[in-house]
Amino acid sequence: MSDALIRVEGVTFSYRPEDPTAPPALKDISLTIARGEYVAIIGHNGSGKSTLARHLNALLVPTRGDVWVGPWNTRDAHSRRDVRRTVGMVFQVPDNQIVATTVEDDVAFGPENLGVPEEELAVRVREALETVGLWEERRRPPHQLSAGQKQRLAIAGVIAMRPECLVMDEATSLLDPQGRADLLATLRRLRAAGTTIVAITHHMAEATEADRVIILEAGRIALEGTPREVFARAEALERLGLDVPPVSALANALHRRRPDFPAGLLTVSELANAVAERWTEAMP
Amino acid sequence: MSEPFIRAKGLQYTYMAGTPLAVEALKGVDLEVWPGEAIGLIGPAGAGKSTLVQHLNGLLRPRARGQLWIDGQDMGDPRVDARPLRRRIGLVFQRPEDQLFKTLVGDDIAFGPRQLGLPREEVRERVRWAMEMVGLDFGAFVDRPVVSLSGGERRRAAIAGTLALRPSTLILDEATSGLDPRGRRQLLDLLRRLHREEGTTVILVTTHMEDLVGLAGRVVVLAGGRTVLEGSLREVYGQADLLRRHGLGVPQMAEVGEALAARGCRLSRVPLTVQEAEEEIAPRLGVSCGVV
Repeated sequence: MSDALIRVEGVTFSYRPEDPTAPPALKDISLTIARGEYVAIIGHNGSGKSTLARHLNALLVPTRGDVWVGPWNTRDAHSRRDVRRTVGMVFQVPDNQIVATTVEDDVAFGPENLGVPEEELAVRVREALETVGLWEERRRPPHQLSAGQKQRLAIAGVIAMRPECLVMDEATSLLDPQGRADLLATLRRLRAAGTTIVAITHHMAEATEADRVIILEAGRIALEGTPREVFARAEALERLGLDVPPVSALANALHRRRPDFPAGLLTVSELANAVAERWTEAMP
Repeated sequence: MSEPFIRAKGLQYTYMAGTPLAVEALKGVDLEVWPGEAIGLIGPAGAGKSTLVQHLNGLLRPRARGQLWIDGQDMGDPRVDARPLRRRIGLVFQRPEDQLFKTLVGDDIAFGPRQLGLPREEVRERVRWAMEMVGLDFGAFVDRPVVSLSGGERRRAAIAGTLALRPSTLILDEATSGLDPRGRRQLLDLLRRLHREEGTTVILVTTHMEDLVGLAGRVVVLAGGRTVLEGSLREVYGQADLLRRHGLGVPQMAEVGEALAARGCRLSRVPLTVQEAEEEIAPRLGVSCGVV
């Protein structure tokens, strides 16, 4: 982890710092995100996960502590542009992120503002729209797209700026299963190309592909580890009011009945294999 | 129960018809909903779910081919006034909290009943009832500014505004999306209560197929603007290949059943919940200490 892209150092954040009785949204959080890493941040509403996400590209700056993106401190107003060029954000509600009257113009808006030359602009727009599966819709007005398509459009707009790190703040929560699967495939492609990904979600199943899962509760890190480590801890997750992904919950339940059955399984095929190895036909 | 409350037959709808940007959203939807039923309407993005839903309370009307009757009225007949229908059919849009517009929670929920011209006392009673149904304490929340509510509380306040109209049918378009697991469970509990205790007809439009378990007796699958599958949850969720072909996910427990069948391990039914899967699988696991 020596190649850190983002360092969050002892960050406390309060939306009302002048009021000492207001509970801070983040309490002394420290974490490091390495280049190329895929980190899932999970927590329910009010846990501080969106507040943390907004610190990663200087939309918010810490009340105490520091956030470093590459060589830049997010407090430094002169480096904001570099910070935001490095870390792109996709939000939960895409409508607030859509600016143009056609799909392709909307995707071009960001890179155009970065001064990307016209020829490269066309390449980037096409690549971004193909990545999210909206190339065929390029001439349509965005308001005619479905909710899932709009979210993919918002993501295309950010991808086209080629940020080193993509922060997705519940970006999949309005998508259908196919939309989510398409998006996860998109993330896999971006990740293979070296993009660092921070996904804020309450869909536990989405975190199974992450390198690391961080669970926030009341502004603090409550649990951290690989998905396998975290999802095996059913009681801790339940106490935090979070759902274990169904497959992990089933593995944990079978493990409670039969200690030799492995807990913390993540995928349907892992689970089916573990069951099949132990399967006995009913007595005639 | 002799007549379906809603009946669509070959319903079609095209946006921007007659222009180069025409999009055929509905190409042939068949749907029947009986009074007091709870059904799920599922389909991938772009299937036409939201377009269909807007037909179900008269926001869109059949224009070309296909028919739609609601409560015995032919909605294709332009003389039929949809307004009285909207009092009986409550429609909760995606992200209904974006439509809260009054400063105080109580005023927002009271807006509908006030528009109906109901006496003050009854408005207050309805607001109280609706807030209690959605789990917002009347005393604590009625005079709270809307901006001070959390996301989940806002969603519930918005739904209370629809409930205060006392609709006999409630249609919810992606009502649980964007809620955290706790907020989702609370909302689904509310729908179960409305259906069972108040006899409300519930149509839940969702892409989260797990949301329908324990609520909907029947599920209708829409894809590419058509009805492609219909049946009980077990019947529909058991058709993994067909669901995938239409761009839908398969609920994880049904997928477990499918993956086990592929390995020669047959369960006696399609599991819908973790508990059902556990009950199906546990007795078939060989005894580990060697005593069979």
